Order: sequence, then C-alpha cells, then structure tokens
Amino acid sequence: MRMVVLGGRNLLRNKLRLLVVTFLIGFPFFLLLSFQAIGAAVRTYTEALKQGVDTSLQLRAKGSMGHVNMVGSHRLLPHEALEKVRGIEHVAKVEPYLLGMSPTEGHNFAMHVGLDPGDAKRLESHGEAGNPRIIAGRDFSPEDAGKDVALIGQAYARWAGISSEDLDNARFVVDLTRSHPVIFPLDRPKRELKIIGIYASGYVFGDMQLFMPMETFRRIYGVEKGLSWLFVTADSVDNVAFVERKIREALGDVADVIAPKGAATFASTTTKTVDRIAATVSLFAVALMVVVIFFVMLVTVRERAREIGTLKAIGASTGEIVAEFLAEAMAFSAIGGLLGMSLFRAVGWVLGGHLFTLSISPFLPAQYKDTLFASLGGVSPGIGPSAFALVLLVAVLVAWVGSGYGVWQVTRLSPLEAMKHE
Amino acid sequence: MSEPKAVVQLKAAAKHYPRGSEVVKALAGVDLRIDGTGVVAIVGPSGSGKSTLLHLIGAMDRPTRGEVIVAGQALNELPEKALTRFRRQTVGFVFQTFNLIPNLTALENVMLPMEFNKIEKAERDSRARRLLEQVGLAHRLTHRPGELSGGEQQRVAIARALANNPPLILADEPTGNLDTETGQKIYELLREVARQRTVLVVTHAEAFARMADRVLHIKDGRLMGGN
Repeated sequence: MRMVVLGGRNLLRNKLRLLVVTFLIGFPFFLLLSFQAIGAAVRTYTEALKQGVDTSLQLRAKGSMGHVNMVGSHRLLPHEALEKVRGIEHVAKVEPYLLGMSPTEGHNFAMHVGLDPGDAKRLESHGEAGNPRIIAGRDFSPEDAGKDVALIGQAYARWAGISSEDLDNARFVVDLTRSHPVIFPLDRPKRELKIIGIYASGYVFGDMQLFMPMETFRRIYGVEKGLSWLFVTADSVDNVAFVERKIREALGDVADVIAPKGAATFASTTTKTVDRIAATVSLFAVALMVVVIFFVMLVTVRERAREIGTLKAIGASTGEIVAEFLAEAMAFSAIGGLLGMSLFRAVGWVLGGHLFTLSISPFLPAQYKDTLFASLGGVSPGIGPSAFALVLLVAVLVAWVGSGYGVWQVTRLSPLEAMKHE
Repeated sequence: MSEPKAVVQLKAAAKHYPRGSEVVKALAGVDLRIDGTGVVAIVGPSGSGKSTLLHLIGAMDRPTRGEVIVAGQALNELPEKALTRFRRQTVGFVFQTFNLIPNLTALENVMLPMEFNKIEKAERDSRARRLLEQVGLAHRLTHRPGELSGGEQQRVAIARALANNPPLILADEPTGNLDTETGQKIYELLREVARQRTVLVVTHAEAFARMADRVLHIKDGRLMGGN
C-alpha cells in the first residue's frame, strides 16, 4: 500500500511535469468525450428520425403502373406475390392495393382504389401521404369489408355533386364503360356505392380519389386475382435494404420495387460516417494518451533507475516497485481524465460545433454538411455514468498499456544494474 | 563438534564482466570467512574489486562461479523471491550517495524497509523514531532528504539499514561524499552499530581502516595476505 501511496506522491516531485502531462492527457480525454457525445447525439437523432420515417417499399408489376384499366399499363402483380412477401423476415406489414381510373371532365381523371378497410389510404403520386383527414362522415371500419361503401376526396365529391351536408343520401355510381385517351372501357355493369365519408388530403389530385373495400373493387371491376400495388413496411429503417433484397429474390423479374432512399441513406451513410470518425478520433485520443504515458514512464524509470536499485536493495519486491509505477501512471491518467471531464463540462457545448465542422462535416453527404449539427441540438456536456465509466476504463487502460514498457524495464533490472543504469 | 556458522563465507567466489570482446575479472576466486560482530574494512585501490565483493555479499549481484554464503544462506541457490527476502532481513545497505527516497521524510525513509518486511505500522513508527533518535536525528523526523545535510542524510541511511535489525550491514564508501569531520562521526556511529552485528565497510579512508576490527586488502580481484 505504501508503494501505491508513494506512486501517487511521486506526481508532486515535479510540478511542471505534472502540469504538462495532465494537459497532454486531459486534452485527448476531452476529445474522446466530445466525439462520444457527438456520436451519441447523431445516433439519438437518427433513432428519432427512423421513428418518423417511411419504411414502406412499393411493388408494382414490372414496367406497369398496375391500374386495371389504364392503356398500356394494366398488367398486375401475380396474386401469390402477397404470400411470398408476407413470409419475408423483417416485414412488419403488407398492404395490397387495386387501382382503377375513371374519366372526369375538368380534372382529366380520378383514381379508384380498392384496399382492406384497416390499411392506410395512400394517394396516387403522393404515396408518402397516407390516411388523409376525414372532413365529413366517417372512416372505414372492419365491418365495411366487402360492402358497397366508399370514401371520396373533396374535389371528386364536388365533381360528383356530393355535399357533406347531405351525406346520408350520398351515392356514387361507378361507370366503367366510359373511356379516356389513357383509360380503356370495361364491359361491366354500373354499380352504386354509398359514400360514408369525405376526406381532404391537401393535394389537388389527392382529393380526386375514391377508396372502397378490396372485395368491392374486385366485384365492380371483375378482377378476381392480381394486385396493382403492394406496400411492404419493413420493421425498421435499418432493414429496408434487407427486405428490398429479399423481395427481389422472392419475386424475381416480375416486380418493380420502389424503396425509400432518404432514410436508408441517412442511416447507412451519415450515421456510419459519424460513428467511424468518432471511433477513429477516440482511438487516436487513446493512442495519444498511451504515447504520452509511455514516454513519461520511460523517462521516469530512467531518471529513477538508482532509486529503483535502492528500493530493491532495501528489500522491495519487483511487484511492489511495479505497483509504485503503475499507481503513478494511474494517477496521471486519472487527473488527466478529471481535467478532460472538466474541460468537456465547461466548453464541450461550445467547442463541439467547431470539432464537428472541422472533423466530421467534410466527410458527410452534401445535404447534411451544414445542417446536421444544428439538427442535433448541440452536444450535451453532461457526464453521465456511462461517460464516467468510459473515462475510468480508458484511464486504467492507458496507464497499464502506456507504462508497460517502463514497468518491464523495472522488472528486468537487478539492484546493481539499476544503480549502474544511472 | 561442528564449526560455528560464519556470518559471511565465500568459497572461490569469482565475478567476471564482459567488456566488448574482453572479459574483466572483477573478482578472481576469493575465499573469505567473517565471524562474529565488529567492523571489517575492505580496502584497496580503485577497480580492485572491493565494491564487487560487497555487492556479491549483499545479493545485489550473483557470482560467475564459486559460492557466497551469508548467515547460513547460499545465495547462489536462492531464487529471486528469496533474494528479495534476504535483502529485507539479512543485510542493510549504506551507500556513498545516501540513496534516500527524496519525497519521503526521514521517518518514512526509515519505515520503508519495515513495510517491505510486513511489520505493523505502530511498530514501524516507534522503531523508526527510536533509530533516528539513536543516530541523533530526533529533531529531523519530518524533514525530507533535500532539507538535510550530507551527514544527516547518511545518518538516516544508517538508521534505514538498521530498520529490520539485520545481522550484517554493508557500507560502500559511506564517507565518500562527506567532509572529514562528518565522516569521522559517521565512522563512530558505524562502530557503535557494529557492537551487535557485523559491519562490512568498503573504504579508501586509512584512518577508518585503522579503527576497524579487521582489515581486508584487495588488489586485482584477489584478497592480499590470505583470509
């Protein structure tokens, strides 16, 4: 124990050395904490982003829009695609759609969509805008499956003369015999649907849609099998690429797969870039500390060779002398760690932005270069239990690794050699 | 009836050092026996092998050949751990340059070998105070080596050498860094110490050699005039 205390007291032998070494170790600790905090902030930001991001992939028949009456683009996905996709790992949800078109004067045409009543009501050309707001009447309920009911967009309702005030008596007649330059007629009987609700989407064309239950659509359009679109939701943004690959493997060349690139790109490139840089800088900081301790302990062992010899001559075991030097190295590391933590608490939030700009921004995709750090809400200068544990762990690691060579020199010296060494 | 155990016994002990392509024979087969208490002075010119002899006896170095037996322990055969224990319990060193630990007080310096010897703190403290009082430094307990004169530092070193009450004290030129008057006092102190143990002193000082109970002359790695 005395040797451990002596090791700690050795720090005060040379106050200038203590000051310089503490700074040389403290600054890398500051870098380590700053980059850990930046990495953590980016990961937190990414996680938050992932929660709100669309992880759905859209599938259509290869080269076709998949609208059942669209000229040149009416080929459908084979029906078995549904079960194949449902069996893929990391698939959280599969939503099948059937789509048809209907001519409308003034608006060119409207879109008719068949879907399961519980699924999201996505808008043509605005697939990311699902479940538009019901402004009159009600939404679908599970009991509506197979019934002749529909939800209509406010613009389409206006075109059809349906008002929210008279919704109880609102009916819409689907007439598939009408044609348009891009819509071919279908020889199907007219069918009347009860309008149960009117929605608003915020998009002009989005408000020109009619949603009906899937089985109702099949009856009206005479489509027994096949699907226009499949929306496949992956269980996390990290698995979007995996699910996309598996779909392509499962369906081969029959489908086009449209994947959400933005979130996947952010997750796979930006966070990985930040993580890699943070890890590199952290490793560099640790290496710098090891080098500092290495040279300090090397010089110390050489300076104190006679003292080592004396200690051995008066009965100290090699283990006791090693304990003294390790305690000294540990004390240097610990004080450096304390300085690093203090610096981080005091100026971490100010310097974090500069560190980010200097070291991380140049490696980010262009769209995140100038905006990402601001989005993070700064670097938190808090020292939580994990940061404290990190500092402690690194301090021990640095002390042991850095002083290894010096300690080895201590152990191999006989008392006489140690004294002659000087 | 068997012969009583010698404090120090060397049998054809030799120490050779390589120096470049040559081999330096620092000790060329020394036979020596030291019994009982008292001061034994080892004198000889520089490079004659007197310090080497002292180092072999103190387990600071191992002989190239021959045997070194101290207080019944054959040092050649002892493993490193046993040599450490030997240095703790059987010998006390006094160096020419005092070799005190600079950031420990006089009291702590004297307590240090007792700590290595696992002696209780209270016992360490009282014994160290007593020893420093014996060497006339009761008023300098809390001073660090840098705050002490050369003579005072050497007294602390002698007290430290006595800390574990070893049967043998080894002093290598203990007055080499002191003025004549202070050196004389140190020799008197060592004579005092030698009443209860053997004190082996390497010295150039003829005056001290005359005060010794026995004088060993060494030249070119050999004891002159036999053992």
